[in-house]
Amino acid sequence: MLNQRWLIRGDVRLLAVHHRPAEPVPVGAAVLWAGFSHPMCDADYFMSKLARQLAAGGLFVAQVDPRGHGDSSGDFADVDLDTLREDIALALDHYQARFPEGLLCIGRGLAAPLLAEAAAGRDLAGVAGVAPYFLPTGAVPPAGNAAPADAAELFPGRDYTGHSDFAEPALCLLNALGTVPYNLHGMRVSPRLLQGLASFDALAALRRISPACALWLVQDERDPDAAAALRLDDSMPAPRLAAYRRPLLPRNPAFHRTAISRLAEWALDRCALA
Amino acid sequence: MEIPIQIEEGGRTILGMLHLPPRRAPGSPLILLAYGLNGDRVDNHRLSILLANQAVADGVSVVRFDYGGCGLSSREFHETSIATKVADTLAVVDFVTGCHAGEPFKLVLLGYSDGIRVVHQVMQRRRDVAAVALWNPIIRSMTETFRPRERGKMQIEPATRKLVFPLFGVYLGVDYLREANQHLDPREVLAHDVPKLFVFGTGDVHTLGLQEELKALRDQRSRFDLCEIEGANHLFSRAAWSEAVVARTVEWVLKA
Repeated sequence: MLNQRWLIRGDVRLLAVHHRPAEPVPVGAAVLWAGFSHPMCDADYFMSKLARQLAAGGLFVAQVDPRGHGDSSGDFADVDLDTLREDIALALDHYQARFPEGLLCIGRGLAAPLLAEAAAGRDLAGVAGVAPYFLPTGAVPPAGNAAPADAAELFPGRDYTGHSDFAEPALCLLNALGTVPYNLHGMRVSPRLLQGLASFDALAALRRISPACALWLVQDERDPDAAAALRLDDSMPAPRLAAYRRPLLPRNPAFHRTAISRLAEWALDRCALA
Repeated sequence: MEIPIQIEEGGRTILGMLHLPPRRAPGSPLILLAYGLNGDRVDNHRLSILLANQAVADGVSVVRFDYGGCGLSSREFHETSIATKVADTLAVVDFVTGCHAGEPFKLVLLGYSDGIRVVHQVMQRRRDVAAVALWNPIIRSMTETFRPRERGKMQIEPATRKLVFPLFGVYLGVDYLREANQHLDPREVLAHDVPKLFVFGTGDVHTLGLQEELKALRDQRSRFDLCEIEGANHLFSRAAWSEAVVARTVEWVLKA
């Protein structure tokens, strides 16, 4: 069963869509966070498909739009890492109060390390990331202090399917964030966001989550329809922007299906242990 | 004021958002947004939000919703067809009409991209549509629209064992494919006896043929308004382009 709710704190109003399972008592709960700049349904409806599968497995699921995204209040030009952190805290405060045990978070792209950061101080059942942003401090070049600029000027290019005319570093950054040029172009991006990324140690944030409670999924390099779990332990060399030459969430429905099955299996296991 | 709305139609749960201005005169317009193919009620770079904010500021109501199988509404995309989109749209029209409780309003359908197909069929079924606006409408068949590298081969959808067509990150059902592969004659759309606005990006490669065809038809005294956004592509993916398409559309709706 579906419904829509506002989560309100001060002037901030976030829209959430709830999926209730058929069972009267959910086996657990999950908060889903889409890729950067996308509405909560996500690119190619990835998060909506995942929400349905999790709810079919007996979980209560909430999809949430942070401010400046989707149906929530605010302007995208005002979005930076701090507003995203505040909005994640608002959502987790709300759902953790309702589900003190067995609350999971699943985010795509930039949302994954921000959820991991928020989870570190909370007693959550697990955190998962799809094509997570895992760049350490310094991997993103620092930005200036200019006014918010159209993403089409910051990351120029016109070929929205083949990306043939995009500069590689720009495309890598967009892939890392979990966005795509066709969605981001036309929106003004805050320089505060880019400054924040330059000093953000996402890899450290992901590593703070115990591997037993975490799942970081990407497309398998050998099989485009398969999902592989990333191991982010200390033996892994510090990733660079070039790690995102190809989108880690490809526009491939067969991959979406395998990734969603794997996440659903992980979520049910985590809830059973909670 | 933004009011989340929820409608049940044909076993699908339709989630939407109704935007109402703080003050509105009886008979003021309400824009219903019918987006294209695999879009969603927010649309790329929040174009629908920009439209709703501008419209509400000018006293115009807006309803945005996700068709079943799209965005946040229930069901899978491969279950969506033009027919289900039309049924969902008609249900939303009934809903907003009920919300007005007899208060007159001017229903304006706004079709974006292949949303023209939905708008055209709704027009054939409802007599109470006051005006139609179309953004970069696509009337040619889907196989003509997509380049070969964007087209996969037909596949079996693993859960339902139905034949589907992989399109970007989703599976497209054969019903949609069949419907969208029919060329829509622009004269059929022009035959609807209501004010019509066509907004084109002059850089939209998907609609260049229709832009020329409409200009020729206008010379033959077909009546419609035409607005061109210089250089804009199919998605209006520059802030200046999206601001222009929204401003020109709301301005036209207030006059239509």
